[in-house]
Amino acid sequence: MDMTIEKKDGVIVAKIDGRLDVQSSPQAEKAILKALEDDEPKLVMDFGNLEYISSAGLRVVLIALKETKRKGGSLALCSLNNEVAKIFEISNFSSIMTITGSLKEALEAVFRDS
Amino acid sequence: METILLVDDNPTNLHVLFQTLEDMGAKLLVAKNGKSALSVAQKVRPDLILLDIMMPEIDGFEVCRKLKESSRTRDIPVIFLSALDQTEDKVRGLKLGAVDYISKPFQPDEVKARVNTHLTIHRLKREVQRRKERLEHELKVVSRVQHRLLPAKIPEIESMKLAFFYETSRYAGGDYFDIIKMPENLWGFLLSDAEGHSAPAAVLMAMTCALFRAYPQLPKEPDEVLIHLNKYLCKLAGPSFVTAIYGVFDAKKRVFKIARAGHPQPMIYRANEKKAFEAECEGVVPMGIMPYDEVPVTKINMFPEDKIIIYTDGITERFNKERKAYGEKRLLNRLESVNTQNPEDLRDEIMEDVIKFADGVPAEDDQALMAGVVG
Repeated sequence: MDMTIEKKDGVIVAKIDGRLDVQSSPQAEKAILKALEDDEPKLVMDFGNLEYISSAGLRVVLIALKETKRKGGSLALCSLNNEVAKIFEISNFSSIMTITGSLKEALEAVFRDS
Repeated sequence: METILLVDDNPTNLHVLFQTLEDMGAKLLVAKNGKSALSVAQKVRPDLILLDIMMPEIDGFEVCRKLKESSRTRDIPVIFLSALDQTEDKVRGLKLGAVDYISKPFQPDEVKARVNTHLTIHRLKREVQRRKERLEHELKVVSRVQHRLLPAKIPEIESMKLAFFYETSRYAGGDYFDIIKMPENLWGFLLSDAEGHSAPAAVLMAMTCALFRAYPQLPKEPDEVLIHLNKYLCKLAGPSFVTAIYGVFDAKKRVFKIARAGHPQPMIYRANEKKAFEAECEGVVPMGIMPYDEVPVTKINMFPEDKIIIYTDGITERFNKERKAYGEKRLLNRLESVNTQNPEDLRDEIMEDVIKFADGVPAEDDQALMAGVVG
């Protein structure tokens, strides 16, 4: 897994590439929680180059969702490939979070939802 | 008390070395040649060996090689002490598995400091090993207890023959299955998967089991069971979660009613069409995330010779060396191509295919599979 976290125009964009699984999840969780220190955080998780997500990875996304909500912020995921999108469908995670096709839409969504 | 073995063929050198280390609080043993050093090492297993290189018959390099060959002495750290001070000698010594190399003539304080360092490292390594063994032992105990939570015997059901596969990835795990007989020839099937594996998942698995078994009389409708389990798991599971399928099978009418919480959908094989497909079951998020008071129920009519498999994602997400997952397509193909009316054969043929695909790569997740053939 490769991960970059950038803050631009008031939005935290966490780009996670490769595999978000049991090995890489603890690191991702720590980095995301650290980035969510401020109140009312707007978080976009860019999965454009995410190849695979396991249930441990879903847990990281769930923690990010709970934490942004708890702090009065918002979360959107974007650019999921077909396999990753299917995992979100089967787990029904897609029913409790905003998932968009592009980074641009996700950036709009976090402002709209907050 | 720790034991250090000093090996040198020169009595004066041995004496000086002995004096240097005398006040370190360790028990000192001496050997005057390679053969005797090997025999003492085998017998006593000292915590550290200071080894001269140039000795008649068996030299220090050879002693070190032999020590590393034997499982009994392999882990004893060896420090070479030698007048050979060429880089290539040092490299050769370290390549043989020695932890350090001190040139003669030595400075007593330096020898003491290095001996101290290596004794400490060795002590910590042993401690880590001991803790690791204890943890693994505890996990094995958890795993044994956990296996007792699974049904001891697969029940005989009028119109469906069943077989199960269950394997945890690292001793204890988060997968769980159960079958409960209800009045009117109804059968409750639960297959669940607690996120993660090993001890934390095992605790969630046991909780799910306890909550499920605590029902005095299971409701006939599958959604009620998931709503109930979820209500309690929401208080217990966070931030983890448990995916599940709960089905009620009417053995008289051959009808399956299925409720699904974030779990992979069942796969059905239709005998008359000779086709396998994923049964579209609308669902809700896994249990333990948020309370819900509605879970969709999907009704599936089954016919003689139809087959059904319910599984955890450890099966479809079993990886091979190329990091490719076994996947739903392969599982569907397998279900479609296995020609048997015996659920055990169906299970075995599926698992053989999964294992063949993984090609020696061990499972990262727990794996559970229920195979049913309708009669």
